[in-house]
Amino acid sequence: MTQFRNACPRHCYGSCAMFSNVKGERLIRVIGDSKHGYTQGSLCAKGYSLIQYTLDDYRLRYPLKQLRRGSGEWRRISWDQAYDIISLKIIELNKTFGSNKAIGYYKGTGNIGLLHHAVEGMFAGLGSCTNLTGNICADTGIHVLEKTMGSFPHPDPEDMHKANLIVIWGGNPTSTNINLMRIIYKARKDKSVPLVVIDPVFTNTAKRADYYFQIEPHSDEWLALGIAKRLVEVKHIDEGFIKEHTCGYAEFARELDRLLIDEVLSHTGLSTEAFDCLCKLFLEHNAIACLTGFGMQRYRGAGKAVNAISALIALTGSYYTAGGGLYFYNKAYTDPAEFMIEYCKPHSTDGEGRFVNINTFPQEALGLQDPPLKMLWVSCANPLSQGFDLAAWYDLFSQLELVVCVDLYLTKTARQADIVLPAASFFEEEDLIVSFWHNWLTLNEKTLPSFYESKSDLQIARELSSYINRIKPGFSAFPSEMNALDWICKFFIPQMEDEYGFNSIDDLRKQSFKKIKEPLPDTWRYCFDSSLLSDLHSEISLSVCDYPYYLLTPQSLLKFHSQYETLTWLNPMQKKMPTAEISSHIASNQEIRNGDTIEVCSARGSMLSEACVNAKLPNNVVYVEQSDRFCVNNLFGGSFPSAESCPFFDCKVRIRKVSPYEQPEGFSC
Amino acid sequence: MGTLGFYFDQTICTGCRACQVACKDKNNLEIGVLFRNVRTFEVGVFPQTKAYHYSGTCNHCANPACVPVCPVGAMFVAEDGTVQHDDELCIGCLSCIQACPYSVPQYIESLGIVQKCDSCKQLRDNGWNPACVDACPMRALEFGDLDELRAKHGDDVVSELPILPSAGMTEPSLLISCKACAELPDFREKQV
Repeated sequence: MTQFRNACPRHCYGSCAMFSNVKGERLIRVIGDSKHGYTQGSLCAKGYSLIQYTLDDYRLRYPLKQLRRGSGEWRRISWDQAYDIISLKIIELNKTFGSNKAIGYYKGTGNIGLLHHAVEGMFAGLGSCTNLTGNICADTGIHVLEKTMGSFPHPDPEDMHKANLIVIWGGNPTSTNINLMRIIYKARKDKSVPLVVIDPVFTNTAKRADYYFQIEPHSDEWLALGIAKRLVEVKHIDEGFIKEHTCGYAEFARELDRLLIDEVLSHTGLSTEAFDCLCKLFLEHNAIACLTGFGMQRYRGAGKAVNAISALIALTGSYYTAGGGLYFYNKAYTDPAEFMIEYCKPHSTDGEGRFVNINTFPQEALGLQDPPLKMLWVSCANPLSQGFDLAAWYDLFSQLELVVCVDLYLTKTARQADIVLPAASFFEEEDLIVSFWHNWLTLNEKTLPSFYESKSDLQIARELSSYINRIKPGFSAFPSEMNALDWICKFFIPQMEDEYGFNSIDDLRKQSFKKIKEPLPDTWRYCFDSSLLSDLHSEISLSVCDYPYYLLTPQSLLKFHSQYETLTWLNPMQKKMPTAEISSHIASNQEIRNGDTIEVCSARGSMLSEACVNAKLPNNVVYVEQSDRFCVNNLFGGSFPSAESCPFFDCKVRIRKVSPYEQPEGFSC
Repeated sequence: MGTLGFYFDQTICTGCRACQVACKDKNNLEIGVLFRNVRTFEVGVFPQTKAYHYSGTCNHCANPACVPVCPVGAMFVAEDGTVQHDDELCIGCLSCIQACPYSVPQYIESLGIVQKCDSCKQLRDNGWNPACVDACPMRALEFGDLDELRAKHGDDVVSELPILPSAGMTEPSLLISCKACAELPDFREKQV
């Protein structure tokens, strides 16, 4: 039996370091690395199911070609045939349009390994193509916080227990960040630090909180500003911090003065007692650790909420305290994608490429002219299941001449591709995983031989680039001679060795490394944004009568968006229909019982589901799990401001009970 | 006192499930949740077929897989060496369920947490046997000091069977007097 070091590459808070035991080319056991400071040897349920994942029956084994898109008529082809089709198309498009701008890619965060940025590198190597920008998860918060906090200081989550109040605002770490619960429990055990959860949904984390505040969806900014107003009113603010480390406070306080607490209460749905209790908690503590989850950043204008919360934390002066501060998103050193693009792009490009934002990809891509987008490469992503505006995605696909999808599974997106290439799992490739949350970095060693003919993104980029260059010498500048270890040793290691304190790949094979964290510099400033208060009232009008309920689709425990759905160790129930949790208010109004079939309709689409009455849900909330099989995303859609992540939780729906005699024709999943 | 664990005499087990039901009753378990689970297996080809039963629960392993994986320390080794679970701490992340090679921890949906066999600690502390032990009409189950149990039941007791994961993984505190047919590799589980 041999043991290897691995790191989970999911776009998750954990980025867990693990050891894998292999016997006869089979993964037989995975265990967490107890020396990893954040995860301390525990993995989540999904992690322990990786044994099944590596040999999952549903995994793709060979490159496939679909005779007609969406027909399901697949033919197995060789890698060379696949490269041939793709190369010829790229060259043809280049000839037709005189540049590579008709060629684009959509690379998601299905695998956050640094070497998966080879996809960006491969396209950068072609010169001017249609590139991707933006951050699919965190754009809303990142853009706002850049304004108020500059290069915002992310506290070390391992220090969170040093705070004297922990607030989880719109997050659910018991499902999405289980190791954080250890730190929260440590704070509770050592110093009786209270845990406060603010969430419209009574989550598993909320169940374990000392204080839980159930607020109306979309009212986070009202609540944060309401508390801020209270702090300013009773002059319980950190004046020293405000004087030395902030700007724009006077104006912010003036604007706050105009805010009415009654309005706060009516928007948030909190009682006066509850609001007073929450304010008291903020008044009594001065080292407040506040986690702003991604859940509260999924509606239009949610940036205001992040902004307001960051201001609230500033008023308490928590930023310089041990453990206190705003926990949101730990930006990696230099952006590895940019680095890859910079390195791979040819010296003499025929003009600059163009950029499309990942969050508004289908709409923006549809609008591209001269030339329109004609070829799309999808990797580490499943946009036809997880995208925001599926109608736009399908429109976009219909204008494309070639769609290539690299995936481990025949996802909704792969089913609409012309060529599907089987991707390696992370046990079958080398990689480097840097967390976006804690400060650790872990090497991922190649543990298993390739699963049938699957290949890593880097391998595909290398082979396709040299294939094109064989047909048309010098067409791609991607350095196809460099293998994974070359990339890690020559480029990533020199960049990171000072920050993380290692020297060679041999060091990385021995342990995970933690970034040497510098304390928040004395010169750092927080800038209050008083414009926040002036446009609070501009709400998006939603037709309240037709679609009275909010549809919330947060991350679930045993799936990762649409990933891991086929693993029977995790999701053994062979469901015929998705489950929609409804409040008892909706259930009694419409005489719906557990197990009834209901139709969840938005202005965009509908889906049939099995009703499950959840008495803990707010009256106006419907709760559905994300899924690839039962895709809920066709209910979403519409436009939203740029520089924001997709407003998935802006969807309003109505519920209709479906009689058993009705033909389920609306069932489009 | 040495390591505590269960002894199971497979040679006399009739597969009646009394232990399973007594356990379910003692722990007041929901439908679908079993802390002790009796399974029936068949080996051989007709007319040479043989059957055996296996009554399994938490083995209170010396090197438990469930304890280090728990992010919040809800699963722990108690002073008497048994593996116990603190319901108050559990966050319901299901890591232990996936980590245990015997699939022992069970998710209790109504509580949103995991629970498992505690070897009836409360009963034992008051001088009683675990519920399953006293329920067995054949007296095929015992709980106690493994060294004493080994001395009582002879050296041919085993800790692993073809139907179970390798004992090297977690060092289960488990002794089985097994039927000869239970050592054959080609077994089939039978639904009873």
